Amino acid sequence: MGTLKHIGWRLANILPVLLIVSVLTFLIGRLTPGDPIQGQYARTFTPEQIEAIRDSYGLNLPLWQQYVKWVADLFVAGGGKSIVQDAPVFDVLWPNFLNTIVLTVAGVLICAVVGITIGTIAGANHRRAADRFSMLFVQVGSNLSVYWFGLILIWIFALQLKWLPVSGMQSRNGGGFGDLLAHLILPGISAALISMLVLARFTRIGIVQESHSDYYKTFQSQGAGRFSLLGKHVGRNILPPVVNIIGLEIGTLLTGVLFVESVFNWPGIGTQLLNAVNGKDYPLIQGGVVLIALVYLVVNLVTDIAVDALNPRLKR
Amino acid sequence: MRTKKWLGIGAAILAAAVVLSGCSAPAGAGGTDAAAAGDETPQYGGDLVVGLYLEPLALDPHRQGYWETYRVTRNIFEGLTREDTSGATDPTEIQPALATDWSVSEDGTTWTFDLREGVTFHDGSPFDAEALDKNVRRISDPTYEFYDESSAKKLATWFGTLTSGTVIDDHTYQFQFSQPFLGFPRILAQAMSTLAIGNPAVWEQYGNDGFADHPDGTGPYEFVSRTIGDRIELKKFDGYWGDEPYLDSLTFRIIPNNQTRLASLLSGELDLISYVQPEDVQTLEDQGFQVPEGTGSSLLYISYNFKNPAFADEKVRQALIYGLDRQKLADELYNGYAEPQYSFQPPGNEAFDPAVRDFEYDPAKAVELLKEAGYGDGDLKFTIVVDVANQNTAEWLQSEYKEIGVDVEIVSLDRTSYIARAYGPEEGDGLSLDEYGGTYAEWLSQGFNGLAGKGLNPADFPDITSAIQAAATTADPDARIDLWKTAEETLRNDAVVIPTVNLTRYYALGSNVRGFDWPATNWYDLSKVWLAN
Repeated sequence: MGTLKHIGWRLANILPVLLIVSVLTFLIGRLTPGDPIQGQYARTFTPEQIEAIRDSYGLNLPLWQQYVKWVADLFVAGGGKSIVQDAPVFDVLWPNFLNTIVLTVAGVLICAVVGITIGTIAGANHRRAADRFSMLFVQVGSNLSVYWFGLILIWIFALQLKWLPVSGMQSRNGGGFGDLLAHLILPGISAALISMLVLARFTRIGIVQESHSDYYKTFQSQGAGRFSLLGKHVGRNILPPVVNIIGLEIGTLLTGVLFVESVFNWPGIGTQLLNAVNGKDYPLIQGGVVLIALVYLVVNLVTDIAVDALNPRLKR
Repeated sequence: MRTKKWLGIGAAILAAAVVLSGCSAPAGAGGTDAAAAGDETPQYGGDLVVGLYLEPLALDPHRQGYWETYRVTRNIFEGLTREDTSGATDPTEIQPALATDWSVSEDGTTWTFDLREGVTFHDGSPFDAEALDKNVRRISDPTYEFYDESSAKKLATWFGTLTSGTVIDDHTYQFQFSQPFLGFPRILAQAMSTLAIGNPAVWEQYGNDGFADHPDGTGPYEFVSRTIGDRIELKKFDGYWGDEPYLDSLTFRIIPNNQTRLASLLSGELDLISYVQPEDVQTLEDQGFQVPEGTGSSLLYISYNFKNPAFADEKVRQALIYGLDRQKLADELYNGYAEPQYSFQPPGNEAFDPAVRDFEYDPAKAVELLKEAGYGDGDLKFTIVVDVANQNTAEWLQSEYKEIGVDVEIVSLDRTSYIARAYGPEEGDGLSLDEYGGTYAEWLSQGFNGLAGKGLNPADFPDITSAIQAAATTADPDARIDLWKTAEETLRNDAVVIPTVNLTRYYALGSNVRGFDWPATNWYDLSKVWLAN
């Protein structure tokens, strides 16, 4: 029962956070320089014409009225009308949002599989060559810029080797799951890079620490094999922190995805928001940020629940 | 310490890889040229994939903006007239499209159009005077149920003086203006703020906001789908009234990142891209891609902040033109893929005169004028405000102006902040950079509106406003172009803007793309394009 109450409490906490996020996004959009109508038409229209068009989009109303209208639009009008696209915000964002989720999930999988593998290899071979080599890779990788790393991957695997496509999520006349996977590999790796290396480090440290613990030495002295020890005992003990790190890294990864999308032209919400910011499309920016904030909060909540469930000491 | 050392080595390896990539690029045949296309028989079929650098706006004939939008929508919608996009005529010839013929009354205020018969929209409903009338009413008649305010404000540029539109019979339509408007047929062939024809049955069914989700016109391609941020797909319209287009379908992918767009063309994922960067032209040609030479009717120009008191003095404005070596700008900054410009009317414009000159490069004269205006070496200081994409241009200008003793500080901003600052300048701001233009003489008045948006008070330049007014409203067809030339001359002599360059490379095509012409318009005709095997 305690768990349910805890979840309920956490859920209730999401609302005020979203409210604060919505107010901040709204204000940041309005109080920084730039105007969507001016951006599109200033070069050729008269100032009077521009004012008239601003009026027709309701951009000359007092700020609080615009805010209240937008919040109402979130519930009844699909997040309001995108100024640049003249279409409801959620209609514009939704397909792209799903694409971002696809890329994020791929990133998380790559991050978990590769990160834990590297960490395990390094940890199990503490201070040996495999450990040194893995950690060199981790050190170098952690300092790469995601943007630059993406371009290098494109250059090597798409332009030189011609193994994988450069951009988008679908080939000419393409389609199908295999085609999607081919398009997912490079952006997935780019998005996962940083988090994967963080995870590798934590896994390695976890294993190293556990292998210095008394129970490990006891089992070892009784003749238990390295692999059975790793699988049966160490693995179980380091699982909660690893899950916790993965959960936290989903947030980082999601942020990374927004950059990666631009490099690989992945049609996700990041590309969308970049365009929206360039056009100062207030409703679209606001809708997108609120959506991402929501995902972030939900992921954190789910991680907490999972970690609690995995930790017998926290069972109430 | 050790980490840093390893990092350095890793970086060196990667840097070496990058350098090697430049060397190992296959040496191509130096570009397949269009001449080869002459020997081949055009083939039907295939899908052309275009990489756009900007997300198009709503696919709505009256709300659309940006050239990239029009490069998509002109396949779906047509106007009453169109420009010859073969590149064979300069200025581009005005051709019949949905109208077969037109005439203007003696006083220049009444235009009568004969409409093409047997034309249908993509949903099969007929195009006739009634359908045209609903298009006109959508942008001009507040009593019409589907009057669209934002379209009306945008089209007010050209339709603000429209007093009535009248159906004469099924295939004859009349526009009545309150003053002469001889530029009208060419304006009807333009991309923005003009009357491309949409299917009224669609906005009557889906509403004005819903139209862009179901764009329907009379053009050679019909709408299939759109995913914002990803792609727009069109397919050949079987019921098209004109010549059958070669390609079965068109796919427009939106790829704003310059490097990714280039890489996608290089990898064969795209057939055509726009906004090729000068530094990429050589790479593309070396690898066998086509980078046609041409000239769109647009212009990169520098405007003054008229709210800065320094620019109230004509001598200062002139000095900044005298002090600018535009040939050097084209050669150094654009690798020679640009032409210096001296007129505010861009090349390809019907009133463009290549012979005119404003204040040609003469740094000594610039220094002298500044001295006369009271500015010694280093006395005149201001900022140049640019979009980050133009930062290198700003740096080039900074060093150029240093030579005439002018101290320029660069303010480089993201696009929206740039527009906000350029059109709402601060006291110490000096110059800002824009690119625009068109083939129609009236562009001059639009460009002048833009300068007014940057603080120029038209009342301070009554000679310019009256010259523009005279040209825009003349009823004498023989005098019209000359009047626009006079207006441009007046504007040029007042030194209210600094024309700089026009780009001569802009599109890049795969080696198997044929039939692509680069006309003076800022868009292309894909109905003549085909793919060789």
